[in-house]
Amino acid sequence: MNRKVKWIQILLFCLSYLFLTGCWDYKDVEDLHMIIGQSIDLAEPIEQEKDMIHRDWLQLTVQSVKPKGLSGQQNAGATMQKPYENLTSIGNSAIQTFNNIYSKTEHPFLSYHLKAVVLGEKLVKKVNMQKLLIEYSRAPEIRGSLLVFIGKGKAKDILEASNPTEVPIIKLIGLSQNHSVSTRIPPEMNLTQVEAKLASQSNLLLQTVEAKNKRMIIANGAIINGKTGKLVGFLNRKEIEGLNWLTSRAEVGVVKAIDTEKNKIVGYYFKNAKSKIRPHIQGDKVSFDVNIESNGSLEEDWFIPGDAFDNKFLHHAERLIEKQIKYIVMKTIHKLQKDYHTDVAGFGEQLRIEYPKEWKKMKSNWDQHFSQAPIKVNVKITITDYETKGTKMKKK
Amino acid sequence: MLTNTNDRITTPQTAVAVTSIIIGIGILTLPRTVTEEVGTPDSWISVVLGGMVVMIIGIFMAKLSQMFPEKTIYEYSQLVVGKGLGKLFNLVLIIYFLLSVGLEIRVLAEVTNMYLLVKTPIEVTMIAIMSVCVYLVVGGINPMARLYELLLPVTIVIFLLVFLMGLKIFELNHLRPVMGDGFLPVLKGIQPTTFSYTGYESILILTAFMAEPKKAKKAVLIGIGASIVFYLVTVVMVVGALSADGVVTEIWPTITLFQSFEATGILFERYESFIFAIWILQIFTTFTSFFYFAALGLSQTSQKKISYSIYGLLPVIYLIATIPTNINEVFTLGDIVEYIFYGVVGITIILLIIAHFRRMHHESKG
Repeated sequence: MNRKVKWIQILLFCLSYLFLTGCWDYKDVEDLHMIIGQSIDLAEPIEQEKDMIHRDWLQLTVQSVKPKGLSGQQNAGATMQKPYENLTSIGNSAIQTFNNIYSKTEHPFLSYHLKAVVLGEKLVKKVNMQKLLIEYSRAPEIRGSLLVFIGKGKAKDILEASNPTEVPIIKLIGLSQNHSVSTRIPPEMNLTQVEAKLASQSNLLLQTVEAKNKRMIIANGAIINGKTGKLVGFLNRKEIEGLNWLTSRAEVGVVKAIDTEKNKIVGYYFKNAKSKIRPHIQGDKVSFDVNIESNGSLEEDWFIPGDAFDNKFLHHAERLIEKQIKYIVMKTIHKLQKDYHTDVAGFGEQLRIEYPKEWKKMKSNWDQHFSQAPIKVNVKITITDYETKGTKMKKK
Repeated sequence: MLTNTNDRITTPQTAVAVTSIIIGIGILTLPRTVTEEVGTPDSWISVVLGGMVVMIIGIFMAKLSQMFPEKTIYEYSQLVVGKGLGKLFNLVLIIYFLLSVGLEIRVLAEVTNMYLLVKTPIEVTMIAIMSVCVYLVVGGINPMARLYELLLPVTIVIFLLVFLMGLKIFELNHLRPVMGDGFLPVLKGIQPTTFSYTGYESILILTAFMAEPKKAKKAVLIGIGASIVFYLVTVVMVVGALSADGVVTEIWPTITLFQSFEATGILFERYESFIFAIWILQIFTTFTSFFYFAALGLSQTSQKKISYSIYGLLPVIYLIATIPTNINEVFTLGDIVEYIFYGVVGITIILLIIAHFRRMHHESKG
């Protein structure tokens, strides 16, 4: 009896090897195409399919990294191999277009590492973003941390703008993080955040990337209307700076102010910035007060001697910086109210929080209400220190 | 006696078991189901209030069970309302447990198939997990309680850590204004919340195994309290990140949250795999208990050995799990389970009232 059990055990032990082989579906990492980024543009319709001409045609470009190119173990003599590969296809559904790419490569694709998608300017002007993004948010292997960008000009060019040794999308992701050190770059938005905004029909601002002479630049912000999901227009660097002050999204950064009378420059480095948007309602009229507070240090001044030991001088600098910030903020507000009639600075959100009932009435045409709302801006700057140098020369 | 008298569990074990049984599918779907009803960012208030409602019901259930020491609900239901009606009630309870197990195994398999084992057929996942389940259940209540005791701290630590990392995309404004539309939306949210707390009815059975049945009320209160905190953190973090309007568009909003940030500079960038592992453990604790309760019920009602009912019920559960043809039907099955559960709660309260008026308390003592 015992012997029998032993034999059965040995048999089971041997049989278990059948189920322990884990490599039956392995693929060499060198052969995998790890998709790292994609871009979608508006394309011209394909000839043969003229019957579907009324549809919008998409040009999808897929950027995948080549593990061989990245490894850096290339022979010195061998020709330089690009570390990435772009493949393009045209179609009118995102998923079908993607599938078409399989006719151009023998390698299997992996989407687990998709990190950024760049949507072409023309496409987003015409097509609701939600239609373009749904495929990404449905796919379980694509994460919500996927960053979304608007490409100025042709989005495909951005996937080609870098040194031959760099992968453009990796560069793009590096650039997108810079909003934490520069006030002139809007914060990056990932898929989940974009979808949350669009689901609640609120306007949003996306980072805009541009390929200038094959160099990648992140500078502008693209305003997307939350109701239509379409591109409204762009904000330039300075307007982004104003917006970042409004939304207190800026963490650290610099402000340059000019003393117009004496034609001297003051550079201010702020360590924190806070803004409070306070809505007021009188009857059916809405107005806002914006209070911006910041403190930081005096970093640069073109005054000679510019004695920072003297509080008078510091206060003068503070006033200059306050004036400058107020100016850029007002310019941004003007642009949003008068040119774009779109609220991306979160005025509506503050109204929703403080006056939920009134917000419900205004929600449907909030952008009109916003365009006519009077907005007052107060700025308070405190220079807490001037780092390690007090003055340029001794007082006479 | 059909149950082993050595199978005793301590009061902390009971509390841990209650928490482990409560936490299950709810982690992944609660933010959506509750926000759908509430419609405002106030769903977290509903979660707390719902938990309090559940605590009251839990106390009633513990009280009922305390009237009959060392007897499970399957045994004393027949004492209270007579053999025929009692057996009918037992049947309802068994069906409820079986449907729950089927539902949870299916959800587990769906999520695993979607995110982890893409190419593995869903049936393979289900059969594999059911085999592990049987292995544990055959051991009886004691090994189960011990396992839950081991798993719960791990779950809580890992979940809280990963939620902390999620603060990166948390926006307080998504949770404001608090009760901007008044109290009515909050009330609407209580009903879907209470379903996420199902599992506390296990006290109807667990009390019979407790070494100190007098502390059943305390155990169920602590057990429910811990799950309130757990669910509260989940809902606050998920709604705070995805916004009330965004949450309702996601099937598994909690997974979406964990997929929406990357932690650079720490050992790993992506933490959803940890969450899946932990969540599978937690849902495992839920359905093993339910499976055990169903098997126990069948054996105590029919006076047969429990191992017969454990192996006999396996194919039934498998069939239940394979009934829904798509994910919407899975959620419909969830709704059906919910309605049966309300029936169970109703019957329990009727039992309590009858037992009270028939003064069964003293009778069983004497």
